[in-house]
Amino acid sequence: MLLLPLVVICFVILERMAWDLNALSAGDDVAKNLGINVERLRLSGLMISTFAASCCLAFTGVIGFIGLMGPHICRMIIGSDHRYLIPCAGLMGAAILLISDTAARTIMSPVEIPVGIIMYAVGGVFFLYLIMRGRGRGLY
Amino acid sequence: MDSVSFSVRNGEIVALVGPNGSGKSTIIKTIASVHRQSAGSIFVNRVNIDTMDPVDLARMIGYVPQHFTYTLYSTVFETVLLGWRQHIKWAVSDEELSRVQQSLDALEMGRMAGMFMDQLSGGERQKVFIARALAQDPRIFVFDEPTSALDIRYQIEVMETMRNITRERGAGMIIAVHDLNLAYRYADSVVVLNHGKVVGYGKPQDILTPSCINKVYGVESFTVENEFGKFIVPFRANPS
Repeated sequence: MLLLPLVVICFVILERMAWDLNALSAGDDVAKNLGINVERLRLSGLMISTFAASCCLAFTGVIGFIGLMGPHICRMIIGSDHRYLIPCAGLMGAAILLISDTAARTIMSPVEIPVGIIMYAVGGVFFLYLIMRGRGRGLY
Repeated sequence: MDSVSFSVRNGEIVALVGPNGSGKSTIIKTIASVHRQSAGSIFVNRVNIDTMDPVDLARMIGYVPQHFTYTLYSTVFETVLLGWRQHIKWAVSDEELSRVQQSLDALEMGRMAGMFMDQLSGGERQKVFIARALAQDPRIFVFDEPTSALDIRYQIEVMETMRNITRERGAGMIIAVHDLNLAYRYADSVVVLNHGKVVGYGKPQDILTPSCINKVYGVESFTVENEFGKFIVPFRANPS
């Protein structure tokens, strides 16, 4: 029960940074003119998300590629507005993991494939797909 | 930079001219809070900007960069909306939306509001960034070569629009320009820079003379005067 409050706090902090993160989309110079401390924003965003991810890892172990796939898929679906992107990416990551875990347990039942293998396989294919798509919508 | 000093009044347009590397962009960026000055002070309404809260400062000074770097995938509308960022708490109200639309309409980009930034041409992107500064409704506009990517029609339209807006809102405007005729026609005062120093400051007709241009740029020019006004025509680079 330690994990939930930590993650919620991190989420709330990140969500409050959402507009500043949106402002970064116009470039660092313009963001600075808009009164945003760009270096501090990047550093604190990085530290908080790293902390949140580390907390989860400490309880669950390493699952690869969710951090890569979740936000990119979300961005393709709902765009780059961080007010919606941050919660959506979190939920999408959870959804990806649940689907993968279900698949892992049922594909070759009764043998249980470790979730990590599914994630690396799916994640690798997904990553290739992103590259092949080139600079299309949602990808940057 | 070395002892640069000038002022802008309400409704006034000041043009910064000078060769590449003379410090125009540096001055613009320092005023816009992109760089911090190492010496000297900048005052807005007699308040030193170093003492101002960044949020208040953001509402006072609007900046349009020379080169556009944009990272995330956003639409024209979202980019212009950012200009109003320091006034937005969370959700965006209808008035804020119409403010954005008005800024786009002022630059005749109203129909492009839903397009994505990388679908636009360079000139259209430049206009979007100008619209963003308009939406910011600052007391001072600080533009770094705002018309460099625009065709000749847009250049004139944008400068006319900016002059009207500056006068209407009682805002001040500082623009760095390469085109001396734009400075001549639209600026109330001109600051000529060379190697980080001010080598001329005053009214365009007094300062932008062929001898000054020759001294600063090493370029021969002549002036033409007709019923439309006075124009400077550079035509030959002198061997350095």
